[in-house]
Amino acid sequence: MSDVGFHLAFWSLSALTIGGALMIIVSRNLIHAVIFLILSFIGVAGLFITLSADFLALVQILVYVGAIAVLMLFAILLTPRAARDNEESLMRYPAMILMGLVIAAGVFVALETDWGPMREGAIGTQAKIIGESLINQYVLPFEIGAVMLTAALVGAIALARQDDEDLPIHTASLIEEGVLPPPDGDAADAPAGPGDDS
Amino acid sequence: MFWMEHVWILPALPVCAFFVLFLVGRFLPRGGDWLSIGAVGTVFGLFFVVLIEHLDSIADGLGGLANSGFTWLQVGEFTLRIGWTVDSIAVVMIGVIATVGLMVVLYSTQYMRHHGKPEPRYWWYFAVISLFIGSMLALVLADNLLLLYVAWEGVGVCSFLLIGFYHERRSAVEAAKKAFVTTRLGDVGMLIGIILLWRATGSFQITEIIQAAQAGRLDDLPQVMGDGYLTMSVLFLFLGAMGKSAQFPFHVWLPDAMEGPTPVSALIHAATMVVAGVYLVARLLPLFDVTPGALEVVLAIGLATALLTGVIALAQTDIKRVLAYSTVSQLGFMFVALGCGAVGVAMLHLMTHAFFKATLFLGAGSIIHMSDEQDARRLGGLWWRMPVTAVTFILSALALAGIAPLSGFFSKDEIFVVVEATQNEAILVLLGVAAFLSAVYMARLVFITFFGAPKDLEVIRRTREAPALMLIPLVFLTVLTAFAGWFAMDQVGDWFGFPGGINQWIYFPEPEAFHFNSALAVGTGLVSLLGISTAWWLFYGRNARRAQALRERQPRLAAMVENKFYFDESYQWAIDHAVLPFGRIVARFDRLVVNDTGINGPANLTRWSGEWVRRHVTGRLPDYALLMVIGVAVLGALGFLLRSN
Amino acid sequence: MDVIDLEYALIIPELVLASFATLIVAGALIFRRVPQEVWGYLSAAGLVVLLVLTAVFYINVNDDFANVLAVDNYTVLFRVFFLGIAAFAILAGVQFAGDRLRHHGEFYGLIMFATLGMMLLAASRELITAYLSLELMSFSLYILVGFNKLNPFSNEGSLKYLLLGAFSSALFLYGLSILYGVTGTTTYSAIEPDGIEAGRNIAQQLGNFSAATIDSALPIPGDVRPAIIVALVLIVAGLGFKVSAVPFHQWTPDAYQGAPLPITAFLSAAGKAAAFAFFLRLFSEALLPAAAEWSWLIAVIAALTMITGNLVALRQTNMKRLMAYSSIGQVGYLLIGIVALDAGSLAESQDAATALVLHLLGYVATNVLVFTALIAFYNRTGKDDIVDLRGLAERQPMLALLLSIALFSLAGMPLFAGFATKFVIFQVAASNGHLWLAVIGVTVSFVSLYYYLMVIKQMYLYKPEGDDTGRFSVPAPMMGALAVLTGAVFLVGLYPAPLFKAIDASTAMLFPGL
Repeated sequence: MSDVGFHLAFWSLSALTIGGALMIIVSRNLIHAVIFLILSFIGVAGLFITLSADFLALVQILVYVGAIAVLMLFAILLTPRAARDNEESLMRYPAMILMGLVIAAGVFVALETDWGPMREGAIGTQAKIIGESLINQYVLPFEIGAVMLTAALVGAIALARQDDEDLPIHTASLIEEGVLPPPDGDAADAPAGPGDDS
Repeated sequence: MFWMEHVWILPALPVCAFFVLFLVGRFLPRGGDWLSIGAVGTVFGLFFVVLIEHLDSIADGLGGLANSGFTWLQVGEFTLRIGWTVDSIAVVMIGVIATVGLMVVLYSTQYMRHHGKPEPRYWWYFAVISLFIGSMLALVLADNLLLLYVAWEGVGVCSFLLIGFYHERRSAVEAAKKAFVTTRLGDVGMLIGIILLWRATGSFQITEIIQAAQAGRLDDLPQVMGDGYLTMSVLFLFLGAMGKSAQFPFHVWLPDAMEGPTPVSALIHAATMVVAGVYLVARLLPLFDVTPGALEVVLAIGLATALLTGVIALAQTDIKRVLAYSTVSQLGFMFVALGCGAVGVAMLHLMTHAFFKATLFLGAGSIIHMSDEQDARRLGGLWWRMPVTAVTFILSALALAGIAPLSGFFSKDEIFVVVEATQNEAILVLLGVAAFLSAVYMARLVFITFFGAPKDLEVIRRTREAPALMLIPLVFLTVLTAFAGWFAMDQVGDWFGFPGGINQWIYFPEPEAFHFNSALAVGTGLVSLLGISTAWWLFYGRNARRAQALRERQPRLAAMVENKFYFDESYQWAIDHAVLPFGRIVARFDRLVVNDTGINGPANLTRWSGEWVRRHVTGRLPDYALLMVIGVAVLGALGFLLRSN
Repeated sequence: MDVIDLEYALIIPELVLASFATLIVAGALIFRRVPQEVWGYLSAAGLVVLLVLTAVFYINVNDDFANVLAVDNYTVLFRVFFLGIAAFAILAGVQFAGDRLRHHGEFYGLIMFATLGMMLLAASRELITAYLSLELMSFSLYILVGFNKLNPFSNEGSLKYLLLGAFSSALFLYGLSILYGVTGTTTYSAIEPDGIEAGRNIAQQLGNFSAATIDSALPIPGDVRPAIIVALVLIVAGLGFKVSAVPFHQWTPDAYQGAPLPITAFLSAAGKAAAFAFFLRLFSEALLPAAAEWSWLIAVIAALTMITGNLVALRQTNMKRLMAYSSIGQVGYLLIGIVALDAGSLAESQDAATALVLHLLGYVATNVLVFTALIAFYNRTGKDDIVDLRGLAERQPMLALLLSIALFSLAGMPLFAGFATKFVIFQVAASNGHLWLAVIGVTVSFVSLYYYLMVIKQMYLYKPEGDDTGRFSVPAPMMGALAVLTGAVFLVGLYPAPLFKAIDASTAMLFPGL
């Protein structure tokens, strides 16, 4: 790989990644945002390739672009109002200034630090090494990941499942107190609470 | 020497009584008060055993000292001990605590009943009072500052529980809280002082700290905080003593503390709580001695308190409140003595004060118990309805005023002697004024309570002499009040087997024996008589119109004195306008600038809908996240400023 | 390929717990007729059995699993501790869950999954493992906070916790990746097993760097300090979120208030303890050589946390929010322990670690006591504002007394755990050269007394109000839990020596150079 080609690839992929990320934040429409997210993911995958981490690049495309982003698109499409009408935040400009500063600091750190080369040298066939360490030294983190996904799945189902049984006893009292809206959704004239105490 | 080495049994007995009463007290016959009496009575008996062993040990040339204890916690070089020291100061304190404690417990068995029926939570009262006495004994026996601090807080908690005993009464709970918080404020200083001293000496042991101070090892501590290190740590420690002993400007809690049952006031004022501060300074006096400026501060605080509260006591109408201010003022006298470096004198006054103040409070208790009235303006002419109480009360009042040959005369005179010997005339004169004031307010209280025409016939009609079980403690304490002062004299001391008078016994480095300065004695006696005459001229019977006239001529001054110079009000103002707003500002910052509206309760939740969720829940989230980023950015920037060269 | 001998025997408690949790979830789904209490008591019993077996079989093992997980006394201490807390939380929550929650099997199962994450977190000595354990714990907690799904408070708290938690994880991961970039490794211990190139661990790399900054003759790296500063700030931010240190604390009151009460107890006790266990191991095993770069940072955060937590608590009207801010204040004291790791010698650093763990244990026991008492109250009344506690002394004197004891202990009164442990931590701070933090700590703990007294005042001063003013009784299992916890609070307060020794033996593992 020639030096020029490498630099060209690196800079253009970085531009793709960062530009995509910026557009996610800027765009009002959630569907557009997801499209930019996919662009950004592809940029990252490209960067992995320039680092000779071809297996990771492949996984990046398969999992993030292929599965996660598509899942997000479905979720947005199934939630009718979520895609539009996102309001502006009052904090927009302060946040932008702050992020500018943070990015500048990041660049400063990246340039100031003597990072040195990787002390392990080049990695050969990626997939094999990753596979081996996942059943060897890193078998435990791998399994923790599995347990974590199980827990998340169990929890998500418990939270999302429609209960076929009756509501718990205290829901009725919550509705009575005006904490929950009555089943028809009209709770405008519930008594006002103590409000902000500060 | 068995008992001197196993002196832990003394505090352990009442503490055990507490635990038994706490667990099963309500099921025991008579609420288990006999258990409390038994424990404190045994302590009283053991006191004499310890005293005899102590005196024997002095006679054998062993110095009367005994240390015992064990290691509580040891990690590396860090050692914490639970240990006990018996020396003359501790022995005096045990005597005072055991005597007054026993009398108060006996007296309470009658006081806490109405028409033969115990008050509600009778058992709880005796449980806590046992713990109170136990903690105080542990406090005076502790050989290290940490254990002392623990016992110190234990005393604080017990006083909190006892002052708030009638927790149905709002004022009682407020008073308990005030006492607790005020003394805790001093305790914060004390804990800081203990930690500072520990850093300087590497020890919590009192003897080691004193040795280090005397050897001058504390002088070269500039590596930490410069030259003022020792002064600072000692003054922090003194803050604790000021809080506990209700010295100016912490004096506000003690008069309110009389919201508790009256025997508790007797205990707090005479033997347990407030003398702890005096004891602490007495115990650590060698440390104060080598600390530049420390004794001067002690003296100044003591003198200011004695004068200020003496004036306030003049205008109070509640019997117990007058007595409370007189306690604060007398504690001021003790601190003056300590400020002159005279431990023995301070301890003598502590002891005599304990006896006469206990008598006064128990006497006031029997007046209140029998007449259901504690406003002196509605009493009067009581002496022929309750003659025994009257005699004991008057004798103790005379002792407090400093009339010879009652005990108060000797101890107060001793204070004048040391002040004369070590300080300048201005201080002597100011102290004379304080003594004059104490004679005036005591005489005033006696005149308007026991003499003159009865102001309220209802009250006088229902008042009878107190039952015998209440009178016995009174008479016993009065005997002590009358004669305890004689111990100051070498001859009396020798006759009882002490090495000389109490001064010598308590504080060996102090070579002087009792010195009777006849000019001063006559002077102080005259001051007391003058005070009593003034009180007679102003307050006795019809003479009270003179006081009234005086008040009308100086309405502002009178109002100021009657309102205790507005200390309570200004503290309240400071809390309302400084501390709480500060909390509010931080809270507001946390909630508005930084935080959201929180989860705001029904007002917002009625709008629980998709709209609301988006605006209030997720809408606020970026602000949270933004704050985290700001935090990171500021900390990072700080890092670059501080750490990158 | 270097094959490492994987000693699965070392992680049997974790494996058993994972299977047990799965079995409980599955069992509750399959046997629907079985009353839900059974699953609760079964889980608690299982945890207690596991606790005892762990304590018996794993003391002084001192080995590690594939160099990612240490099984030493420190690990065992926290294994036992987390299992115990989980058992208490489940015991305290059985009635609550029966009255107010659904999906009990999942509820108990997730508590155990969170516990598993905590145990692994305290044991990890490798960044990826630690991160995954942290996420296992956090995911379970996110769900548990929102478990009362018909209560909007619960939903809101959970959502905030989840989104901000993800954000903090991002910060934390970024910090870790920079640290990896600097040191080239994710293993933090200084002990290296055979078969792995010697000297490849964070502590050694950082040690080299700090040596290099002193003596630039060493050839190894150039100036990596900017990167280390940024990495540390980000790592501290991520951990600061988990322990709710100011200014990363805003989620705390919302999540505490929203969560079902047993989960609030669990979150404030075990969640915080796990984060601190990790914090301590990471900063003493891996990052101690760079102590100069982070001690000022944590000192600033500790001071801010103590002051903010205690002052804002003064203004609270809800008991859960009050406890949230009070726990933020306590975190400030605990952070002093981390700061004090930066000391002259390893022995002094170890003193600091011991003090930290001691205060952590004492604080957690007290906090669980407070929450168990509050759950008992809530089961009867369904209310959790401070004014709702009015007249508790008349309605249930024992509960009021125990709650007062716990609050006094939190305020640091002698005789109770709070004093002994807080004192040790302040003392260590003073002797390791951070006296000013100790002074701030003593002062704000005086402030804290004020708001605890406000609660006690409500219980003792006022008459009960409202329609429900009768006396009520507390069920026996709950009373038993309360009694055990009160005993622990007194024991730690009066005779902490055995506990102190045990902790000292466990923290010795964190300083292999000792």
